[in-house]
Amino acid sequence: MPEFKTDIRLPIAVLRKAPFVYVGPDFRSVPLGVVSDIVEHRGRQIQRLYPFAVSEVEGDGASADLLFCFAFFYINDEDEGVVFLTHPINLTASEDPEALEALLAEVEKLAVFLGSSLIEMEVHDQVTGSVAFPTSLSFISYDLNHAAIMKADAAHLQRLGFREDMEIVCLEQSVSGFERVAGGVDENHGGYVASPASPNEFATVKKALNSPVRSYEPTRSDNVFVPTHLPFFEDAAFIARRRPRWLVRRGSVEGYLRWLPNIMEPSIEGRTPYPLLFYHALEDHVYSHGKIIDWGLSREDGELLTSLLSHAVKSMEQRGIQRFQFAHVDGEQRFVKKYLEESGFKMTHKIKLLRKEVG
Amino acid sequence: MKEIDCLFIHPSTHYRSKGPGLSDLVTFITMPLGTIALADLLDRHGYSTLIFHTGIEQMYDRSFNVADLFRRYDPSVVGIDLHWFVHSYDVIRIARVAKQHSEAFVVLGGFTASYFAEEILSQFRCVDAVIKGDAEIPLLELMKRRPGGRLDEVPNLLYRDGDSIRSSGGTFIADEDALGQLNYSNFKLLSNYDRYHRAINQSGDLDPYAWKIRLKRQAWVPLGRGCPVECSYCGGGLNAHRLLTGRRGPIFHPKEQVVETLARFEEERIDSTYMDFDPHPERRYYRELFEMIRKEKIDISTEFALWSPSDRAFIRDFARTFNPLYSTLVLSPESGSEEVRRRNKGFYYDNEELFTWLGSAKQELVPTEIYFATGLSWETAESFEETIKLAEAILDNYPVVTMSCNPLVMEPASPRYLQPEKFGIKPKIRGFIDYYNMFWGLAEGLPIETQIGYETIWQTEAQIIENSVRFDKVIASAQPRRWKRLMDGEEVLHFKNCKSGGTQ
Repeated sequence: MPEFKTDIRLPIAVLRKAPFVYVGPDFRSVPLGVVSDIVEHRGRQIQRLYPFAVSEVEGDGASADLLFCFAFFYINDEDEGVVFLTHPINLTASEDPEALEALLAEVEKLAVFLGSSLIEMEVHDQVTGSVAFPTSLSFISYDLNHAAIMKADAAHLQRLGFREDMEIVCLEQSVSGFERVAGGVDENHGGYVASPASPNEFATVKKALNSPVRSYEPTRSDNVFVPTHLPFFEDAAFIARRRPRWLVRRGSVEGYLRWLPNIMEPSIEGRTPYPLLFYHALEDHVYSHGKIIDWGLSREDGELLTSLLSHAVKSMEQRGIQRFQFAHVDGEQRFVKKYLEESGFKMTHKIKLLRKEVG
Repeated sequence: MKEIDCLFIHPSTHYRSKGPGLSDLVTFITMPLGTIALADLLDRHGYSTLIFHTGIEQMYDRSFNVADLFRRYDPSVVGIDLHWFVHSYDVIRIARVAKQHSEAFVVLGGFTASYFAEEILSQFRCVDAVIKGDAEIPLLELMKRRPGGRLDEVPNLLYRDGDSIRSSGGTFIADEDALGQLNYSNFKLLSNYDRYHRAINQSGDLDPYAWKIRLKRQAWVPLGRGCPVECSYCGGGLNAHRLLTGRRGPIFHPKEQVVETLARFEEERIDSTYMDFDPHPERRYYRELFEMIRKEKIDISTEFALWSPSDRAFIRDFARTFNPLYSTLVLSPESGSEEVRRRNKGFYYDNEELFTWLGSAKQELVPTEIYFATGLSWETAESFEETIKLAEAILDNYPVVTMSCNPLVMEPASPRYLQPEKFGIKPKIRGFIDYYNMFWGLAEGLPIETQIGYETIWQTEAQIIENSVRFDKVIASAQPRRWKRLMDGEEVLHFKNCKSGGTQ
């Protein structure tokens, strides 16, 4: 009977088995082998980051690493503490369901210790193409084309108390394909005018436009998730306004959209998991893929989305980007999904978000 | 109680907290590399042996105390390493405990013990002998002659004989063949070795639940002994080696042995190694070693301390050899002032060479660690400003993951210790007893006369310490200015290169 040991550690085998980029808190310290991020919740200071490694201890005391999972604490919009698990990575050729159980038992203990009643697990359910960065809702993005991710056995996870809460999809289209469908990338569509936005303008608009038609984010109450941690690229954030009427200087804000070049490309090419440490390399790289990661519309309006997308696509085209992805589309966004499908986008990645209540 | 031939005890340094809310510290937890090899050598020759690291034991079991070891073990010989002067008090404390609770013969070794051997033996009766210099064959010979044998036949030994102190006749200086016989990875001889690999910071802590997530398992790699140059502040330079070990130049471990050690580390799930032996700037040894590591497909990260800037080819070679997760290159320019650096460092390089090297590391996507020091000879308040300016320029433009500036502490056998006037040093430490008293004061929370053991004719001790504090405030906790502007949304990243032609 194998004995499992769960340790807080990030073994180097993870990078070999599942190349990744880390854009999370305290990224400068990770190469030194230490990391820390303290978050305050309900008067309590909490360590946010828990990289779990599960190993098997043999009879002679020798150990072998089996499984890795980056867990972290965040505060959701209901002011609850949540323990979020990234998709577990296999560190050996064979999968051991008991290793997963050992991991989840430890995570439950952690959740109880942190006063969290909820555990969320991100599962990469479907990968049908080359998924651009970010490949995760979290700050650790695995190269899903090469990662040895654990097979998600829905029935097993269900037995362990997890239920499926949400599906978040990412769809892909070529720049030229979109242009054909959209009939060119004119600057203005219908009654809307889109224009580039500075990071601060973008943040202000995003906050103000509190519409339900928007990209999925696990929380807006905690800045740990990806978009807020990444610097903006030039000409990669746009806001759309209603076309101004006579004597009215600026129309009302109706939407926003931000894209990123696929920073996984220079990271994999340069063999570094720390793209933010070498941001000069992000500027020097010639990108093939872009990804729309953050978007919101005041209403379900195809003209509005076309207006924003046209600007983004034109901007990508000017940078020589050939294909792009539209990410963070959850099940509620039927209109956006239908629009994208009708515009020739194909699904390339599906994340399932599983939940378990504890305590 | 179990009889054991040799019990090795590694002391850690204790700092008693002086303020409310502060916890006591166990610090300087790195063990001399040779300790495991010494224990393994005895083990292979049929002697029963174990190593206890007092800091590791205490970090995980607050009730641990050294006396308990002597309730569990009845050793014939107790070996305590006194390589670094920071352990001066704890070594003697442990030796006293050993004498109080056992009949064991207490022997010390390491550079500090070697340098102060006569003083230690004349002042502390709890110590029976000191092995001066390389200890492998001397310790084996000592074990053969215990109990009752003739100690004058043990090379490198200074020992107590009744009320007198005697020196043995022979000399042992390990050569490459001798180094090649050693095994540095027999970790099972070290109690709680698994925990030792997790203790990756010098500053351990008595609180195992401190807010620090340690991500890796680390081990140090033995690469060689000796040094070809003299840095003013270093007690391990060319002359110190001549004085302490008789060695006249650097020697390397055989590359095959290093590769074998790394393979063993990999089996032990060591994520990262620390390599700190870089005596020849052309680095031919490393080019060959790295090639062998790649050939063997050893997957491990490495923190590599360079003693002088390398060329870009070395950095590229380094980057393709080691797992990038925890791999960094370390360089210590010590001062921002080229003049101060030239007068203090054995390997001199100017700021232009430093920036060229940093540029190469940046281009090869290798993170760097940069270390400065204060209290250098010829350093003035004005020249320290050059250190701050250089550090700011590095932080703003290069991929630095850590940068610090510590006050130099007087090292025994360093040029500054041996010839203080020549280096403008006004010493406050003149012998082993001063080191002992300094660390006794720190361990007991008593007032101490000096923290660094000197002042210079250019700066007082208080100024030197203040320099370090200011560096911490201005630099160590700062972020690169452009990164801050990017994070504040005041600036964006640019696309500097694009494919022409665009869409497909």
